[in-house]
Amino acid sequence: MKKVIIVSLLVLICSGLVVAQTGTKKKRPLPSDYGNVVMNNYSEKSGMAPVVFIHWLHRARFTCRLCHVDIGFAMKAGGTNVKAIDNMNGYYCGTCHNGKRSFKGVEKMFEACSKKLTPEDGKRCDRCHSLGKNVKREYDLAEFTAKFPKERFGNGINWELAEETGVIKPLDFLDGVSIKRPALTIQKDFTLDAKVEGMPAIVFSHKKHTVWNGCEVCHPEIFIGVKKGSTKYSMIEIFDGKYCGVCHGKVAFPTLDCQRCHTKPVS
Amino acid sequence: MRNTEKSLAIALAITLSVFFGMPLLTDGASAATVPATAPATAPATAPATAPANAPANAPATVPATVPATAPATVPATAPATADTQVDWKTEFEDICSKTQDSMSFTTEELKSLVDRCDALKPRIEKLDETERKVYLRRLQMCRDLLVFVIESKPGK
Repeated sequence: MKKVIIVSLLVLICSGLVVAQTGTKKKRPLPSDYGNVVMNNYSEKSGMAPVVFIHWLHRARFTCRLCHVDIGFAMKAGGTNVKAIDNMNGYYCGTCHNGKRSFKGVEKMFEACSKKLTPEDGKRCDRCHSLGKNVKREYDLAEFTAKFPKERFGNGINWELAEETGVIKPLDFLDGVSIKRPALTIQKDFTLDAKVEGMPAIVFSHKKHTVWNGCEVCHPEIFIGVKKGSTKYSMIEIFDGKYCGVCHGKVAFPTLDCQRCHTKPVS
Repeated sequence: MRNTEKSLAIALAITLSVFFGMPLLTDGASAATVPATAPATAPATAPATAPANAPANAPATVPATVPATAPATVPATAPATADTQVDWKTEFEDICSKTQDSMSFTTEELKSLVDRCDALKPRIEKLDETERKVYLRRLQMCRDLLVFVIESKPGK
């Protein structure tokens, strides 16, 4: 009996220590799920399964700017309020997924939310309205990214390097949607000192970010203060999804990967 | 004595289930991240039968709520004429094409662009729901950036 009590107490103490030190353990999504967005403003209300948006596939082909500026998707999940009629009218998903547009003139993109429905359309609806369904995806992450440079976290892909080395060439212009603009004048890189002693400073590269985002994705919606030192960033806020955390931790590589940002050698 | 042992065993089981068996939270993206397993509330399949408000000719296998809800969201306002459409879009494109090199403009030029954004907004507000939603956001992003650049000018 004594043994039972001692063992019970030990288990309780150990489990208490685990929880006290780390809090509730967060589950890390699978590489193929990382960045995916569930869109459910109207789906379930309409008797449809919520939409699962595959971020990795889209980011392999298009810049963030194209979708979040030119097409008008909000940066926050559920912030766009996409309706089926919007897609039918040729906006949002329907901008590309209209059954006519093809990716780089090769792959014809299926039509999203068509006005005329046929008995076969149920399966097509399932391509997006797939949460909770056992839908076989047309593209498999491992297969699709077999030759992409790898990384430890997120999707397991170094997207930045993939773009830099030409493994992917994300489209940044869509006929009839994007505006013809002059080449972007890239702003200078800058450093942000870390608050923790011994932690290398962050070298922020405007060039690396503008390739994907242009200006409007980040300014001023995410980064309001432009004058150096006017905004105090903290890792708590970033982990909480502010500033860098709007993308890093959701779609871009997570902030767990310290060395990707804190790169300036400590002098 | 056996009762005490039983009670202890139950207490231990409860404690273990509380500490280790609770549903784990998803990662940083919270709701935005797809859970590994589907939630119980998600419908496994689209409804097989069409709801009462579905169009009569909708095939039974197709989720009839799409056509049923879709027309209801179309605004009652009449679509703008082709000429007006061209006008606002040309103006929109002319203003927002300048965001890319907005840092090279003077404050006065930027202010003038912001004024043009403000003048264009009521015209976009008259468009159909979807177009209005998309272009109001695009115009707002464009305007916000121009204001941001004005604010960042030295001496401001």
